[in-house]
Amino acid sequence: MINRRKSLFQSLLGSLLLPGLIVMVVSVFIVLHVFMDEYDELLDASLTGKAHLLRDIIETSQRTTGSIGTGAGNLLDYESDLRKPNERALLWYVGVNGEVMARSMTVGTFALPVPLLPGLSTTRGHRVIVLPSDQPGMGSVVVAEPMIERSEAITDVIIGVVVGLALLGLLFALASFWAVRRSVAMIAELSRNIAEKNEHNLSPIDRDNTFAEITPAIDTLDGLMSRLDRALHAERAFATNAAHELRTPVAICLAQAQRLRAKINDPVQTGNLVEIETGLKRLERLIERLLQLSRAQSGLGLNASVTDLNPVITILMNELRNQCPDTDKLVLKFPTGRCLSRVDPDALGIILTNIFDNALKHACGTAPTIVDASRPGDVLVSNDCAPLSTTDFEAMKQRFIRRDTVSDGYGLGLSIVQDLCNQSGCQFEIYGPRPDNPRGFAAVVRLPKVEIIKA
Amino acid sequence: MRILLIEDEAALARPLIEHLEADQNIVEWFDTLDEADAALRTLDYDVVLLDLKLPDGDGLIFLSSLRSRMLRTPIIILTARDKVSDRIDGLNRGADDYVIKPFDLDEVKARVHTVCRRSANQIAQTVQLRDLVINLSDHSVIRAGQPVRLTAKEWGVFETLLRRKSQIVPKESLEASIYAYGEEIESNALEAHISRLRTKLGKDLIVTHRGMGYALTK
Repeated sequence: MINRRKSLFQSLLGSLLLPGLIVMVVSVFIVLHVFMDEYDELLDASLTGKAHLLRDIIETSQRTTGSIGTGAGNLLDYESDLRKPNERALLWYVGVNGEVMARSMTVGTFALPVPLLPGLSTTRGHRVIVLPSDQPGMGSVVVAEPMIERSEAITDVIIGVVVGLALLGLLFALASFWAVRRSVAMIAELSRNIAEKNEHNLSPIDRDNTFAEITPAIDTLDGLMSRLDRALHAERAFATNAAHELRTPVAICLAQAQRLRAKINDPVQTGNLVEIETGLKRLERLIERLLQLSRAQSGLGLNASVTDLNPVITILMNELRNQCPDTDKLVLKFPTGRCLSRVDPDALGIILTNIFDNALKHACGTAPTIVDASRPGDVLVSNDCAPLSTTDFEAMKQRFIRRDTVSDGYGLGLSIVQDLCNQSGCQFEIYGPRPDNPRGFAAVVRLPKVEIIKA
Repeated sequence: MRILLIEDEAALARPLIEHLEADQNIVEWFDTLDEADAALRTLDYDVVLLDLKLPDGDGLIFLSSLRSRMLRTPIIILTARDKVSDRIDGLNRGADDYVIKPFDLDEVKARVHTVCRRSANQIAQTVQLRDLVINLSDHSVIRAGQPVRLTAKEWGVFETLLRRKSQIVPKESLEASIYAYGEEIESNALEAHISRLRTKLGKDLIVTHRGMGYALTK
């Protein structure tokens, strides 16, 4: 199952935009509802006022002349100059018994609403008011106004509000996008800055792109990195100083013993000195292993930048030739060109030194030990020896896991090799017997992500 | 050969000096870079053995400064710094070889011979010159099939001429190759050694260039 990580940008933008837009839509509905109510109320009041005016005119005429006269139907004719035909009001004067006593010309085929109840009502696209007279024996005035104008006004208002809020929403979305992107960019820059830190770069985090709210966290992180940096430096300095402090006394003892051996002729004393020398050389190898172990445990593996590793391979192969100058016993195939990699040269040095030492130490038989570095990025080391049984081979691989005790044996060296390969991304393969051969042992180190530049 | 040893550990320097002197070399020892620098400005050496961690500075910086002033004397680093990157750094700065402590005294001796041979463009340990067969490793000379015995000082003079084959070697350089720093030089001692070498190795082997020095015949 793929674990998709949430995007801070999307998350922030979503949490800011979605509620904002919902609030805007709800606001549109509320505004429209209130507007429609108020607008209806206003127009209804106007319609009611118009009905009252008409009723008063008709009743005054009736009181004066004794009849409503034929002019009552013409009272709204003035609207013909002001309004379109389909927007004009309709007028009826209805007697006490419900008979239509007068009506405006605009009524046409429009039928009176039935039943004729006093008050406001809506029917067939018209807003109708029935206003009975408050004088006994007098009829009712019925005025109907088309809803078309009212609908147009409301539609215009809806469009205006929606367009206005849409523009506001767009501005809000753009402002939100810009603000979120700016904030997230600062966090992304901070994240990149932190991600660049490694064992070679534990400098304080750049504070140019930090928010006040996360400053305490960065202070803590800087403090921890500073402590880690000091610890790593101390660990590396220990290995360097220890190399000098441990190797120099051994060098003095060895040199003094060798000089003493050169001066004396007594075979017994010479034998004793040879044993001292042997012990000192064993101590030297142990010191070397311990220093390698210390360096491996200090995180040695990859560098921040690439270096050419072929000089490392070449120098170690030359040293191997110094140890074993017999060309019948050692065949060397040197690398050519350049091999650029982030693998730490010292890590590769320890890896190859151990593999070379093991090959020379365990080589027996007629076939020579071969160190082949001619294939870019690969170093193959093979030596002749009796074929290993499956049990021995598996046991050897198990010994890559470091034992509790430290010894000058095969296991410690290979466990250091395995640790350094893991830390540097190198592949380490062993074969027993060698491929295409019933005898021998082979080890291959494959460098990761190398850039080969041919000679 | 005249060897300059720069090493601050007296207990290590003494057996190394004894061992190299037993091989008929002249070894001058200094435990600071300042003293060694003064000696290098005064005398010619065949090889310099340089420790890196010294009380008055870093040997690598000293090495760079020597190479920057065009000193071509072979330099072998003797150090406890065992990292490959240190070795590459040392060689890149101009060292001819790099020996990690602890070392076998014989190994140092062999490395000294190797870099000196390389410096003199001599790949082989055995050199053929007219009817002479000279072994630079065991300091033996055979003339017309017969071994010739040379004293340490005679060998010193002959080896210096041999390493600068076809070049005129000043008298002072030849004296420096057989006398330690501060040692009193007897008058006409060099002429006496040259005379004995001519007797043992061939009358016209060494040519005198008046007012300039001596050279092997081409």
